[in-house]
Amino acid sequence: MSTAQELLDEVRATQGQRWMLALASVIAPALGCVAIGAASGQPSAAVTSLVALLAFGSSLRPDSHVGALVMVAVVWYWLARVDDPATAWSIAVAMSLLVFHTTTALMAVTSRSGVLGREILGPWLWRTVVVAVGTIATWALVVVLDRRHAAGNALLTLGAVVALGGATLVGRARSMPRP
Amino acid sequence: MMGIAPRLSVRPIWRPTASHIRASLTAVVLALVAVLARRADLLVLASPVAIIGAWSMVTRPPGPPEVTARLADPALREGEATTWRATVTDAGGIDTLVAVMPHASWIVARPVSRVVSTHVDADADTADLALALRSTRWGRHEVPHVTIVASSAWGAFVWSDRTSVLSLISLPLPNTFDSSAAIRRTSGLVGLDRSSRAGDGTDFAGIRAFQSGDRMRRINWPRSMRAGSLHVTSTWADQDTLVVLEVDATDDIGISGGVDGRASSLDSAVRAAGAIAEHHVQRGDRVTLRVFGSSSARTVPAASGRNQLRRILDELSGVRGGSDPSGFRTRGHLLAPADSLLILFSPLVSVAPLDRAVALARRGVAVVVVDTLPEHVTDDEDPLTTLAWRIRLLERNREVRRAEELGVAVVAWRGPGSLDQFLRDVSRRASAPRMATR
Repeated sequence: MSTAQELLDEVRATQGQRWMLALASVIAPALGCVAIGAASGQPSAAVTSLVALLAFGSSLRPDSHVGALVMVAVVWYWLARVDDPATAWSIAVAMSLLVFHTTTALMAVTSRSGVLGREILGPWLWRTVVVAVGTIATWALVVVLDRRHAAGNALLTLGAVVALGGATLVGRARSMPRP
Repeated sequence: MMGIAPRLSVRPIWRPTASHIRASLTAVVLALVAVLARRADLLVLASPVAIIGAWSMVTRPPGPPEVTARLADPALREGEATTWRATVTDAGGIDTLVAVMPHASWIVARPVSRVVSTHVDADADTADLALALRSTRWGRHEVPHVTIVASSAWGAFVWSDRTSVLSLISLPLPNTFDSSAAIRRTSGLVGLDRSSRAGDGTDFAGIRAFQSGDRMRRINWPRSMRAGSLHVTSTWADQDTLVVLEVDATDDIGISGGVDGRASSLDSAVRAAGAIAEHHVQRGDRVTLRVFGSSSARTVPAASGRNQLRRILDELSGVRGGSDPSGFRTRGHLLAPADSLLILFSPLVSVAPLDRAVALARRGVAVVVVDTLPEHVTDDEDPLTTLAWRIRLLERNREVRRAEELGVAVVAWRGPGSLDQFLRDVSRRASAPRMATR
């Protein structure tokens, strides 16, 4: 059987539900880019198209690392265009990253020809809502800190870096394959 | 009986997925840049993936689960359904379970995608996955390796394993068969048919003078009173019949569409043999089975009873057409008792089965050949193939006529009553003097 035939069979076997997930994973980061353009007043169709293209590639192979490129591109675009740390647009962009990551992760662990029941989609949706609430809480905290206009503190920064390093080491240890 | 698959020797482990690596790395890098560059807004962007990464690590499954796969019924009739079920134990930390079964010949699965998935509750220690399977053709099938994928919350860690191959025996679904003609061939003293010997049966044979050893209840009192001496009512003994079923599996002619489609020659032969075996076993006859041209099928010795039917169907399900190239040469020396009824199932595309039938008929065996050649065999898009078949069928008709002239009956399989005319002829011939080569 040729590769083209295999691809065609794969497309035919793909469920409508899967197409919807793939569509969501492509649209979400593209909308994130649109939100960045709206926040900065300088929308870029080229960047949005590039991100959508990368997201499309990620939706084809959700178990690959292409998804990381999508997130890097969106964050890079944000850093380059937006300077206001307390803008509410950051919530929109964070939500786009959340939807992209969630749909891609769900596609990676399920078969494209299988139908996902409510018993699977329900917990994923519930967890996504919890993370979304946590993100909004983070934004609220950032807004509060931003309004205090506190001066920089080298010791505090060092402490944050050390804590971050420790968290990274712990996370790495818990993420390594083990029997 | 449940077919339980043993576990594979190498134990797979939980591995982080690309999603988890993406979430963790993005969160760490964004948080670092946010701290060093004093960009608190990046913390908002990092929040979703940071929370997901932390959540994933906290809910990481403690250890690899165990999977046991089995079939609810590993032996069934073709067309019947069973359930493939996998039980996952030590399922703590598993969020989603997915099973993917590859395509297998003559096995239809529900759902059609052959993919089943389920959510596992956080406090559950076991989880089940089930697929409905239907066998669409007789034979010994294999339920292939099924890939089981377990994933933790957020798809952060995956564990994958394959179940072992399970065997599924699909017994042939015998065609309906019945016969109203009596058989009067053998000299046995048990069974449902009338024996050629007088004995303790039910069929009236005559009235004769009392002899020593006759039972009192057999005395015919009216006749005894008239004659002045004791007379008894004699009966014919009930007999059984030795039915020899021979299946020509040297080739499988035609395309099989399974239990719901067109039948190949071997389909017809196997189902007809099963039907006739079932009919005669229910009558109390002894039935034996011989298969030519299949390396996997063995001869089933003559016996009667329901277990014998199961043995015959089991051997029929193992028939693989053309797997034994020696064909009729291997077991051609096997003879049949002169008082047996031999039924040979063959598409008659070669002369070997007819040669065997003629040789046995010359020895006095009642032989009938059931023609299993499917009608659709000449339906071919290639005109040359069609022409070749027409030529071969003309030759075949000539061979069949010659065999019939030599005393071999050749009948087409039509289900109930297919053998009635032949059995009546056999019964008539049995009462006439005959000459046989010994």
